Amino acid sequence: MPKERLAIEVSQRLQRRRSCNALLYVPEAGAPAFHRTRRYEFGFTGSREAVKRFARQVLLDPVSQELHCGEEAVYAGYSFILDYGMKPGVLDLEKEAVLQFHKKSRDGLCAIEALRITKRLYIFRENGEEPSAASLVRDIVNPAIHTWTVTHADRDA
Amino acid sequence: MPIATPERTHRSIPVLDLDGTELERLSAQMKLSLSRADMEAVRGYFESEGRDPTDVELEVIAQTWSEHCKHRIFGARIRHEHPGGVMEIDGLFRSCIRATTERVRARKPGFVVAAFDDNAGFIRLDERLAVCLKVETHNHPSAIEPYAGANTGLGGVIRDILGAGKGAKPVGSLDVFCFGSPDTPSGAIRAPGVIHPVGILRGVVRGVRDYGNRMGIPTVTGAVQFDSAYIYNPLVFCGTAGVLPAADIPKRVSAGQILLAIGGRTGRDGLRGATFSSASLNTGSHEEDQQAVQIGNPIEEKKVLDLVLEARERGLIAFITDCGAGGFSSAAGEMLSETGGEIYLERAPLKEEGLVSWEIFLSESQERMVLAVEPKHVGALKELAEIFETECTVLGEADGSGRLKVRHHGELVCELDCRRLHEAPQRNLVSRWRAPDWSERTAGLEPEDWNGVLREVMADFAVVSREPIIREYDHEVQGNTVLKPLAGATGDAPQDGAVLEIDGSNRLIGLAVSLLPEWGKTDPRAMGRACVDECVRQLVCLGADPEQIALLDNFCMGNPDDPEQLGSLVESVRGICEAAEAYGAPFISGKDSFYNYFETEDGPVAIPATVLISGMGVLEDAAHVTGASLRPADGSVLYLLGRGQDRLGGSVYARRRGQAALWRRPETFLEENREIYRRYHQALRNGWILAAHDVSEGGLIVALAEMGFSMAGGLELEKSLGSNDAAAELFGEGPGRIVVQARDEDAGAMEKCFAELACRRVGRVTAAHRLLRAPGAGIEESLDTLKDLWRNGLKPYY
Repeated sequence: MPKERLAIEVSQRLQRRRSCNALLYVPEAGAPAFHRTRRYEFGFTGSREAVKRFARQVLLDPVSQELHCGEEAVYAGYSFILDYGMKPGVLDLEKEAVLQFHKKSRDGLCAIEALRITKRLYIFRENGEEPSAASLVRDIVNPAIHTWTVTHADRDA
Repeated sequence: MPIATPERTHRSIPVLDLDGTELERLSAQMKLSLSRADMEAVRGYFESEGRDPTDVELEVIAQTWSEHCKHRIFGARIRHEHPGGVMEIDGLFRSCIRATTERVRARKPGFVVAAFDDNAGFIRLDERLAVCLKVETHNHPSAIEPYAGANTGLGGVIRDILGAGKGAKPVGSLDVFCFGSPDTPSGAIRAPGVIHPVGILRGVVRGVRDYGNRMGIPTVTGAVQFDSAYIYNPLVFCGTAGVLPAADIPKRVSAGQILLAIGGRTGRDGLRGATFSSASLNTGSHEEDQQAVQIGNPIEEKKVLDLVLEARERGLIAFITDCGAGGFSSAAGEMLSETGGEIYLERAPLKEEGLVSWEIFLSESQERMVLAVEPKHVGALKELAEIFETECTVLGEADGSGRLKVRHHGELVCELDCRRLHEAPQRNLVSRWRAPDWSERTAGLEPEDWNGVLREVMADFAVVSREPIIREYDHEVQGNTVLKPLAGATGDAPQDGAVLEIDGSNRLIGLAVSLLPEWGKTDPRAMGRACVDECVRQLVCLGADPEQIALLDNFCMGNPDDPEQLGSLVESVRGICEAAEAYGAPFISGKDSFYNYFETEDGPVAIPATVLISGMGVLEDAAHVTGASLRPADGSVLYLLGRGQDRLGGSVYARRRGQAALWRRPETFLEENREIYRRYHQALRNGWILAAHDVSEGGLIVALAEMGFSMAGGLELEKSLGSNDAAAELFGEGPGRIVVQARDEDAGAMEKCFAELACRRVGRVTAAHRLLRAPGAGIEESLDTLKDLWRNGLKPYY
């Protein structure tokens, strides 16, 4: 079992808040807006700084992206967060590529033993009513391959 | 580090003392998808062996006898009732499809190099090379997880080509989809968990894109049909063409040869895919069948491809096949079907711990191939695996015993007689077909605003441009795509298919597809005849020699246990066989997909019998390649080849008037069409054809507009096109018709060439404007307006 955990979130510097209709199959009037990030949860032994350094080198495009360490939300004012990623046991090609790259890098300062990658959507209320997660979950998440969680802002407080 | 499996990896399943009902229950418990008769045959086999089976043996038999692998509906004895009487059919495949091919082969010796006995069928390209084509469906996985389903659908058919002969080189892919309409309201989907057609569309297209592009194989042609019948059961056809020296087509496994597994590792993904795809879907499928969802890794498959092509060039391969449905069980079962041999499961490289014997043997993990090689070549193949950074493992050997033996950690977990393993009981089925009560068209339904009708038809989902999908694909990688899916002076006008150059040959191949599900709803025999005609006609338009065309048939239908639905299938088979024989175009490969029906809140919804005809034709010279877009030739003449009809059944026009199911389908005049295609090719060889386009969805007026989308000129049609029935003339979708552009100076020669055949001068191309004018119907529309409607129809949804 890995001794330590580190969550890293990568956001887009150039990204604007967009209508959720881009994510839905049938457009909705007064659809909420979203920001999208990617989260990497590492299980590792060894140096935490080495894991951060690896993440910066491998996962980040420093021109267009920002890297955030820890559990704190990257954006404020959201209604809820939808996190979704591959079920355990389902082939995640990005995860495989990251882990293989780490194995080949042989830096000796840390050993990444587990990695879970999720996409994170911050959902914001736009002119309409308080957004509901149901239609977004229905159109974005596929229960055949994904696990997902919905975290409401009020529960975070 | 090797990943180990637990010591106890199999179990014995008592069947000898079970009665029929208990056997049925056992089949359901183990998700074997075997019928009571099948289970009784299994019990009979093990009675003769004097023991109960292991779980591995039951799973191997279930996979081998599955509809997916054994095509038992197409092998069944069918009593078919139809308006002309009763037919007794001893296997649709053997007595209809294969028999048609054999008769055509006898008329054209040497053209078909291999048909139905390898992973793909081959035709001769030139003295040295042969080309092959294979089309597979991946319907059920794509309904559950569109991206992964389509992704692995294409990956699987590419491996089929790699496993054809001693390893063909994939040179181009095609994709054909049937989805629910993109504008389906969410509330119209009457079952929980069903993915909206837009979700299916986006996921499937991205899945095809990511596999084809990453493998470096161009996706060059295809089609999309939208119909509410496909909301619950989308259809995803993926095909790939390949090329191989004809001398490398024959292959054989001999006793003493070594079986090697190359490529990806084995995991739990895709377990029971063969039996899963042989069953219907329900609302639980999205949760329960997760293991049947396979995830593709195109980079791994690219390494396998490079290894196989190099190994074949060096003469290292005696036999090769892919791990498709059924995994090692299917591949080893096929390879050892004559010689028999032993497989050692503990040698298989695993992705994860804890897999038991049947899981390793049946897993459908992707990107794996199995080779038979002489022992002296094992070292060379392992060296190649090092070079191409993939794995190569000795899995077993052929031993000449005639028995398939599977060992795991020293224990014999499966031993089956190879010959009897492939003797699934023949099914007996009943089918019925009744001709519908056609209604005649009535004058009151004809519109007054023909311009409005044209705009309406041009924006219909059956007609609109597939550009948003096509642009996702790399259709030029490998640098051999001579005629692209979108072409013309503006690079965005539709074509009838694609043409590929073949490295090492002066000849080219054309690829085209046809499916007409709207016709299949009420007249599947007419659908079959028209689909073959359309595919052949498209290939002829591309420049292929009509005497060098081969076809593939892919059938999809709902519940074959329903006599009415099976009747549709039988009628469509009759239709395609009649047309293929008349055109001298043999079937060289095919596939079927059954149980495309879904239990909704409102009852079962089945797809109509749907047949996809894919074709491959040889072009003898690059100068024969012909596009469907007008050339800038002021005053050039437009001809319509083929007989017009007053029937509008099955057309977009009829569907938009709610009459699609009622109006009679047009006839396909097979002998007449064949002569027209032969003379067309003569005219092409004489250099008289500037452009040619088949008349299909939307009818003649849409075909003319599409030709004009190159913006090379306007189109002035004759005042009278030979009929007073403007709707049938302009919007009828009768088969056998081609619009041809020819220079004015060649008009006399053209008319002489087609003397006594249906060939009418229908208009001229003008440099004076960019309009489509049909004065007989009062149509005058800007090509820009029509193109905008056509080009933007699908954009909001992708």
